Amino acid sequence: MASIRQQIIDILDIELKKIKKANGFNTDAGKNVFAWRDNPLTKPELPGLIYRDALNRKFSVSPIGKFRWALRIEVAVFGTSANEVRAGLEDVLKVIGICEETKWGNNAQDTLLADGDEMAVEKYDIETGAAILTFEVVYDTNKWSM
Amino acid sequence: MFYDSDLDIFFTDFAQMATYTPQGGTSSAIPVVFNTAYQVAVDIDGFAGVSGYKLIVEAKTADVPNVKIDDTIIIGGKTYYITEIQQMDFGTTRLTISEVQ
Repeated sequence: MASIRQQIIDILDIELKKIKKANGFNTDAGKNVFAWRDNPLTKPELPGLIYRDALNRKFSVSPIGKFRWALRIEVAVFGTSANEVRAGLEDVLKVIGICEETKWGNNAQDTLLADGDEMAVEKYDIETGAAILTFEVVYDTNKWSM
Repeated sequence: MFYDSDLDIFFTDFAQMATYTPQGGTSSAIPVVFNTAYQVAVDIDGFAGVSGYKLIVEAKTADVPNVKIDDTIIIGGKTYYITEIQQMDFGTTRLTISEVQ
């Protein structure tokens, strides 16, 4: 049985890959979803998403016999214009909301949106933009597991 | 050390013709040397970014004496906007260009 952390990431991956115009989203970013990708995206991969579970913070106070975690997940949205990045951000927010509705497959207690997003746009041969959305999934596990 | 005569040889050997148009001004055909440099864009906050190219043309400074950002240059039928201007010491001006304004 995969850890709850892994199950949360699996659900995120599945839902992010549903971001397609055909499914009612603003963009087709779901066609290019990557976990922890460390080499740059190419133009045919835009719009695209890279996500990473960068930090799993343990609460100092947890329910008795449990560990309470806050899994910090960062999703970077890449696109060919500022408008496309904003549209992609809205899509990712919608996905987080969908995951929150099911409590991440009944694995989580809460979903917290961090400060907001950080965005940048640069023009070289073409315009490219990126924004990072950070959120935390709060969940409980038995002691000594995640 | 580059001399004026070297500059002419350099442009004769390596340049292609482009159409330079200053904003509100008249177009002129000038020789430019076209170059690219690999560039990773928007690699923010440790994320990988997007592979791209910095497009650079080198022109004789005498051909673009009052060049400004957002002037245009047509190379091979494609219009580019000037996004950065670097005047070199040896009589050339290096222009970073982009397909988007």
